[in-house]
Amino acid sequence: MSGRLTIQFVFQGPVILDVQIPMEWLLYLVIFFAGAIVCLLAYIGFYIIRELRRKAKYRHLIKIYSNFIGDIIISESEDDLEKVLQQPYVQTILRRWMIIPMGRKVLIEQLVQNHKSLTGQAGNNLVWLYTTLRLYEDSLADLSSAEWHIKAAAMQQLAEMQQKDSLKRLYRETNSSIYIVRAEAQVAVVKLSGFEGLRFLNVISQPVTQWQQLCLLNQLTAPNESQAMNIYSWLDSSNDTIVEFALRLISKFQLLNFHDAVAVCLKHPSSIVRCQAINTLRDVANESTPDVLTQDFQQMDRKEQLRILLLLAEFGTENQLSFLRTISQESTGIHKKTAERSAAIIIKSSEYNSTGDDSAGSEVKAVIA
Amino acid sequence: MKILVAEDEPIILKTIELRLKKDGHTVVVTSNGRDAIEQLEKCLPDLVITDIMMPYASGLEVIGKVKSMEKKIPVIILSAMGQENIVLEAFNLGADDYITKPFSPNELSLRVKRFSNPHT
Repeated sequence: MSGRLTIQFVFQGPVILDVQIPMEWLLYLVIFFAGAIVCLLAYIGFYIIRELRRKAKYRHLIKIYSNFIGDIIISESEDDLEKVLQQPYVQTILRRWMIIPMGRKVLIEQLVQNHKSLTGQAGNNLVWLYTTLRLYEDSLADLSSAEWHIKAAAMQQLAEMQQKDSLKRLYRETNSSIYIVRAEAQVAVVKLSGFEGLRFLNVISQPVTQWQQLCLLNQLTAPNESQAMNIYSWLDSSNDTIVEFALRLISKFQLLNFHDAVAVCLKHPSSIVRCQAINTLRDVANESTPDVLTQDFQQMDRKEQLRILLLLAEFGTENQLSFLRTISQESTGIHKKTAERSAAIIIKSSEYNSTGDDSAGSEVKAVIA
Repeated sequence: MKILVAEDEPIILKTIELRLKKDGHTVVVTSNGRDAIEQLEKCLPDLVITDIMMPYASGLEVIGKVKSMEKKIPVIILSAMGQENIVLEAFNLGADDYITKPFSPNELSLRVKRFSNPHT
């Protein structure tokens, strides 16, 4: 092939680019792109085949494991469990698949997943198998992975399969700079050691997000007296999110002894902490709560003041009426309405009861939301 | 007693099957709601144990089918934690008992026993 292809770029006027490309070059370009497309298609084809094979292998493994794990789950004693392991079909599975990483990985996945659905002896049997086959070694190896998702999955596995020996390793990750890693590590240590596990709060510098706080609260049961004493140091933490979490703990377990310590948090520099302190006082209220709430009222921001005015409707006594009248006279809008409403509720105004006007209440809720 | 079990988790399904067979029951297993509905007509079980969330047809549809049949077949539902609304709906449809996951196969075995000896 010979000759030249002339390309001219014209943009409303004179020719601005005049390129002459030899026809051979075009041919080479066509061959190059055709080759690239063939290579790409071949790669996609190989990738799809590999994935299909992997999925088929995965399904096959689940099929062969289901009998084995089923027998383990319904065993009623350690002798029964040992007998299951000695069965020829189980020995074949162990010899063939426990030496392959995928075989071990799928077994770990299945044990962890099914442990979530089973309780009692059945769940304990799965933990026994995980421990006996030393599958925790795989999870511990994954803890050293540079990939955060592998690390996080390993933590879930160790916590679900009650591997208390891994606590030391898990504690190291509770202050990880990667959110998911530290979140999983914190949940794992709490799952393994309950309230005691919260001692990571003494050392972490990373924030504990509100979602993370809820996840941790979800794992906890009521602390005993000595465990609860740790909350005092968390209330003094320089990490605002730890103070907020400590207040949530006091709320959840209604630790009435902490009332005065919570009251101190009303003067905290963080608005989030102050708001949580107001909410917590509601859960641990005593006869001094209304006075505590009104003491620093003027230093609070607008949102906090509204919360306090609302709470006074629940806990206020006749002693707070003069305070509410002052607020009502000095304020306008929603503050005025709320103060009046709270005062009306306190004195059980007959007019209020007869009309049942709760318009201020709904407006307040809208502002706070 | 002939028991139809519908559950999409293969290992949980196998566990229930092995446990019930150990108790001397005849067990028919299916891994989705559509197959369970088909099996109902074919095997006419004495008891149905069904998960709620399953592919192709839910446990609620299975209950609906069971209750539309001439034979009176009791149904035990398996539900996950936090599915209270669905459990209530299942009871409204005529479910007879329920077990919440995580569950113990031994507990399931005892509940099944209640239906095989209704007077105990």
